[in-house]
Parts: sequence; C-alpha cells; structure tokens
Amino acid sequence: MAEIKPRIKLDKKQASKGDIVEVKALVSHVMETGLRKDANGNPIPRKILNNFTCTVNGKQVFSADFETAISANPYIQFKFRAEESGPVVLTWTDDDGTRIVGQESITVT
Amino acid sequence: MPFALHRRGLLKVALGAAAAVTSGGVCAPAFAAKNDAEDLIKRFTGGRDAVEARVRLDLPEIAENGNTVPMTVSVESPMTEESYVSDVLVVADGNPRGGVATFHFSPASGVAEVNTRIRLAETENVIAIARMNDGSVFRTSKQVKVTIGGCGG
Repeated sequence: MAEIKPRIKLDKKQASKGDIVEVKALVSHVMETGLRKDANGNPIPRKILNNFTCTVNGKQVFSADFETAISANPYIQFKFRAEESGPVVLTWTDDDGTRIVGQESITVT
Repeated sequence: MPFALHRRGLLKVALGAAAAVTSGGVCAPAFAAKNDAEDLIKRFTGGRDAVEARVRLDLPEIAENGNTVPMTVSVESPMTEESYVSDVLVVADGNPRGGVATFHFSPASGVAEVNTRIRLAETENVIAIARMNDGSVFRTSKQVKVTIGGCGG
C-alpha cells in the first residue's frame, strides 16, 4: 500500500507560552467496520485506525481510541496548550499494527 | 410414526424459541439499548451516577447522511493539574456496536474539546460521558434524526 500522508494544520505556527493551539488533521482510510459484506456475500474484514495520539516535543497532549463508528477518512480536531517549542507528531495506528505518522512543528516564544 | 414425532418435536422447539424471544422483548426495560452502549457506560463510570452537567455535545438535529455526522464534544474544566478532564467516552445507542470513541485529555490539552465525524446507523441517541481526574463523572446526550443510515451495504 502506498504510504498515506495525513493532512495536518495548526491554527498558528508560533505561539506565546500558554496559548491554545488548534490542530486539524485528516487522513485517508477506509475505516472498514467488519459488518459489511461484499458482492458475493462474504464478510469484509474489519480494518480501522483504532488509536490516535498527538505529542508535542515528545509529551502526549491528546489521544483517542476509535471504534467502528468513526467515519471513513477520519477527521480530528483538538487543542493543546503551547508550553515549549518542538515537533507536533500525530500517529494513527491501524488494526494490523501499521502506523501513519504526520508531523508539524510549533515555536513557542 | 417417527416422522410425526420428529415434526412435533421440532414444533415444540420452534414454539419455545418464539416464546423466549417474545418474553425477552416484553421483559426488557423500555430504555434498554439495542447494543452494548449501556455496558460500555457502566464500565467507564465504574457504576457511579453521572451528573447531567458540564459536558456539551454539538450534533446536527437532522443528519442527512449517517455515514459522516460532524460531532463536537467539549467539557467545562479549568484543565489544571488539580482539576482536569481525563477521559471522555462517546457511545451511540442505535448502532450495531455501541462504542464510538474514547478521548483522553491531560492538563497539557489546555481545553477539553474535540471534533470528529461519526457514523450513525439510524435515528438514535449519542451519549457523551466525561470522567474527571478526581473520578467524578458527567454526561449529556443528544438525539440525531438520521435520513440515510451509515452502515453501508
């Protein structure tokens, strides 16, 4: 499978210490529920991104466990408090263990 | 005649099964969810009663497409080391499976607010439950009318 590149947007790249930064992220994924059947009536196996985490400069600021009720091409929007400059790393984990990783950065002054 | 006996036996089994189904339907409490949503809530709250406060759930009144329903969950909290929202569970009582997502926050989150898009199979209630760092739980729920269900196939 071609490597999936998530789309990530921070509402500000530079922030003062204590500012609230908003993150929006979209990733391409079927989020197959495992409840559907194909044209021949065979069940289509479940394949979803079941976990999402966001770290800022190595510290976790937000995470989520997804179930099958999360739409295909999952979109997530959340916030964090700017404390220190560094990479903002977003990681999605697939049922099969593979990971989709995206990165942005924040400068805190 | 062995054949007749067999048929009668079958009939008995069938009647028994039908009775079981009917009584189950009648005895089940009216508010019982169709899926495991209530169990998930119980496990999440540890049996504590959730107070109807502090949690806000933004969902459309009517969702034309149940495949992708925008949802915002936010919880009032100072989000300091002393007092913050640690987890938020979202369930839907009419989906084939009750769980939607669990969000984990920390004081570093700054604000306990998250937006995502969810699947809703039919007109049903979405319930959000927040657990604070001190273990107290708060909840809210909202009904969404779904025109086209989001189950695919």
